[in-house]
Amino acid sequence: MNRIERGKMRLRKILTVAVATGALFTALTVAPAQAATEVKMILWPGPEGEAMQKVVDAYNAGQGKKDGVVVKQVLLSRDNTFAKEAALMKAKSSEYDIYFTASYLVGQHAPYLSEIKGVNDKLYLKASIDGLKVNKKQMALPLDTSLHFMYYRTDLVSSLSSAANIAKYKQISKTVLGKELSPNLDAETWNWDDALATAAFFTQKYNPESPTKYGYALPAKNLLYNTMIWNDVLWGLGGNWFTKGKPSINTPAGKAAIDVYRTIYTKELTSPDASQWEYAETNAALTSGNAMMALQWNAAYSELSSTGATSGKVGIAVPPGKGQRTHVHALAVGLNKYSKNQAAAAKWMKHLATVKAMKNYATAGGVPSMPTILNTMVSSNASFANIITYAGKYGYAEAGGPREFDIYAKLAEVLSPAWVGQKTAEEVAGAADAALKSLQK
Amino acid sequence: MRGKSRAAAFLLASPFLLFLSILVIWPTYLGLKTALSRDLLSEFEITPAGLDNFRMVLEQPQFWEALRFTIIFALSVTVLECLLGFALALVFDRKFPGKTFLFSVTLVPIMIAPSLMAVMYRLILNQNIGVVPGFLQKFGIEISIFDERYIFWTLVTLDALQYTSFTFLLIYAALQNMPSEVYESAAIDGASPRQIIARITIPILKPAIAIIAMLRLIDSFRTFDTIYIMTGGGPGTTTQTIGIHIYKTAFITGDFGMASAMSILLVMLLTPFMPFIIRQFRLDVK
Amino acid sequence: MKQGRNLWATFVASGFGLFFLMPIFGAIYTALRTDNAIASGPFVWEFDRDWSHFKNAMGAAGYDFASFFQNSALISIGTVILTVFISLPAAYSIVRLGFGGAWLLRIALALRILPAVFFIIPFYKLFTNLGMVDSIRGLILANTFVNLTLALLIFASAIKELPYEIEEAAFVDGAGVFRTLWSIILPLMGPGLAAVGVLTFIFSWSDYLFAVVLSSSEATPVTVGAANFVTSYGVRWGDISAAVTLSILPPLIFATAAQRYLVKGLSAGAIKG
Repeated sequence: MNRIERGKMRLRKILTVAVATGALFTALTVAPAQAATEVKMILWPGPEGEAMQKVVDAYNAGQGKKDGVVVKQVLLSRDNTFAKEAALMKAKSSEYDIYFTASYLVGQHAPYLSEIKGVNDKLYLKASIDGLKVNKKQMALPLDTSLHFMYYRTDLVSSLSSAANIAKYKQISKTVLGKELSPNLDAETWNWDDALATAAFFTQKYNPESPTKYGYALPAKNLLYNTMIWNDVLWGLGGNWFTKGKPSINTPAGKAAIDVYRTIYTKELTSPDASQWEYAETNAALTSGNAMMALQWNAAYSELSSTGATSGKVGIAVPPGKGQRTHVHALAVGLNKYSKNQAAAAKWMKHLATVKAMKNYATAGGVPSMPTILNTMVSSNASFANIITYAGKYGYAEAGGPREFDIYAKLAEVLSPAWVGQKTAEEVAGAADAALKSLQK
Repeated sequence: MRGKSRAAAFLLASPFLLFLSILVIWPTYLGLKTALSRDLLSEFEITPAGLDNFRMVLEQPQFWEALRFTIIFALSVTVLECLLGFALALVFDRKFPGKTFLFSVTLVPIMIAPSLMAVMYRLILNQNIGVVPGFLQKFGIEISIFDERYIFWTLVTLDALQYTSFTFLLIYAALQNMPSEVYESAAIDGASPRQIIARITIPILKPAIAIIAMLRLIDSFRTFDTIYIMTGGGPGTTTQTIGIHIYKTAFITGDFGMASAMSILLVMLLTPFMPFIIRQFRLDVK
Repeated sequence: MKQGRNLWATFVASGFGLFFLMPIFGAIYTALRTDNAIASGPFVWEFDRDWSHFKNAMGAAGYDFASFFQNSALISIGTVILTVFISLPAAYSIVRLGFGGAWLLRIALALRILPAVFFIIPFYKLFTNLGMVDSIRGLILANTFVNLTLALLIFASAIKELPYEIEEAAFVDGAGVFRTLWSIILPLMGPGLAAVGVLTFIFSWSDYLFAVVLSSSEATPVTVGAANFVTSYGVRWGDISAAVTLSILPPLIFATAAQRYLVKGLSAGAIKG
């Protein structure tokens, strides 16, 4: 046999086997039959999805049997969850009965959701339940409440009390910020000068004896979630997206807030890589012992309090500033307007709105927006106490309207060059206002 | 023979035509319709908008910035990856110990989904917990590869790290298609290896390499996952490819009309290059 | 052959290989360590004796990775078959029989340029109508769509390189077009076929965006499954590293097997003999 013949036979054999397997596989992909009404729900993976799975399992084994409903949860990764939902909504899909949404997105999603009736507002944190109303209608049911903490290393802050360190602190703050400041050991009362001076003190460039290389971990990537964190700075300095209905980033407060980030980056109080950091990198900077403080999401607490350099040494404070406000949002679930199982889905939603279900959710690792539940769980996660107080006392959300999600993304795009020193606050503030104006409803 | 051959030609192409008619015609029609509509996620109603989306895209500075970045990026990675792929294909064009194993190793990067590859890059290149900066620091090299000053070259290198496999495999396959007599007779004539590459390999492979390069160029024009996950297109829009811009327009702004219009504009912009590829096939001569 | 003399090639290829394997080395190293070690620094030697990251990537985390892997395999194999079945005859028809000429190639190229975003919603609508959302068949079609241009161009370029005399001889002997394609062209297409097969397999294996939108639970491939470890809060580095490591094994096996067909020059001389 020559090479051609052999090659021919080999290829033929492969093709025959391949065609046969292909046919077999096609035969295997037949959808299974179903009995009770199946309600399909989208959530994203992580603590929320895992906790929800427990609630779903409990419901399917108990109440669901009475309701004649079987809930099926589908998880997607963070960015793609909302992308996929956008595609489904625009295609008027009925594939899923329940969509995952959030207070910053509900405005965009509202046209595709059914109103949820009979929700007892009093059970929830006010900021969370109100954030999910569109034109006074409840469009989604809150699950987790998310807000920010100023995390810091307690061991390092308390070391600032020695006389030698006080003198050094004064001198470093003079060099870096141009103001002579004294250490403020109570992070809860920090303003941004205190935070920046403390960050500078724990940066080896200015203080070679600092245990951490950098004082701050700055999530400065062009990412909409990072704008949410920067908003705390804006509010802490007395600014806001809009003042009397007009965009107001191009104001002294707005520009000062941009300059806080700019100072941290250009004075190298954070790593140069921070220009591409988000949640995971910020946490890594803290747990690796390379950074000393960061404004970060409340969800980071469990990892920070138990891992690496921050283990047992992480303190929580409210974001610095005069106004002392923290961004707060609620993750939520809403009912697909095109769902063919509205009644069954409503039964499941009714169950989700009960204290019992949310208690189950909290036990499994969720952070439900019900203060009574959070209160009983403080012993297992100390940060829950802060969530209740901060959400009530400092919690704040911009009235972004239906384009809120877009505004966060646009601001990240416009402001991030200034956060990392490529541009000045002066150069970007006007563009930020123009973007806000074009996206105002 | 002629008539029979035309029937056979149609029959052979029929699966392709059938596929196009099922999977392409209707979706393309829907896509075009979207491009000609005001179609926003935040607005329930979809209204006809004529050429408004196209006008708005062309007036958008971000579109042109993204286009500029994409052209520079796509050309850089295409040139780099074709050179590396060609060099590597020449290395592999002979027997050597461990060839089978190393060949598979060379293909590993494209086996990882770009979106997951980007997550891996975020991990192993992380300054605080990543292995690569860790190693470099051990050797006293301290470099912030995500620093906004180096980010472009970081992204080009990482793209080459993944897609050199692609150009390598195709160039290697093209090289294997070459009849070996050509080499043998050249060797008999006493040509040096370098002369053989310059006078025989490159001229014969030129059409194939041109096609491979154009394929890579087209693909790199759509680069999206890796850069989006690593930089989000930032700082600002300095690393925003047209693919990222289109994705953000569709899924964050929720403006599907504009995203579709941009996609069509992208095709129109690259259309002038198509004859260049098609010419490589010299369809007129048999 | 004189293998000893080509050791330099082994060195050069290994050098590239080390570079190419960097992400995988990083992934394996990460997957073997504890979460505490991963978060504390690159050289904290604290290995996870329970292999929990690998266990999570094989289903212990509550995600059904066994079926994700199975789905990926079915989708990839199906796509390779369908792609070759559609594009090889079409390429022959275009190049040798002059069918459709440049415009078919033009359409194919335009399809490759259009970003996936353009097709996402239309495809979702189409597949809903065809009853193929969240099915292996649907994803095979979508991935074939993605890989068709590549396959068509590679085949067309490989067919173009074949000496026409061989086919001519076959025609003279009275063989029809189909027979010539099946018994003359196909065997000569080894390298091209292997390249298309490997790339189509790999690209279908690593497809992401179409899979996210067109699958939900029944047809979820491993890429989408692994993305479950990219959570709303941070990334589960250890678990996703293990998932990435495991996910390259099937395409690696496929590529290694397909290599046998990437052999040099079934040249004119060999055919006459």
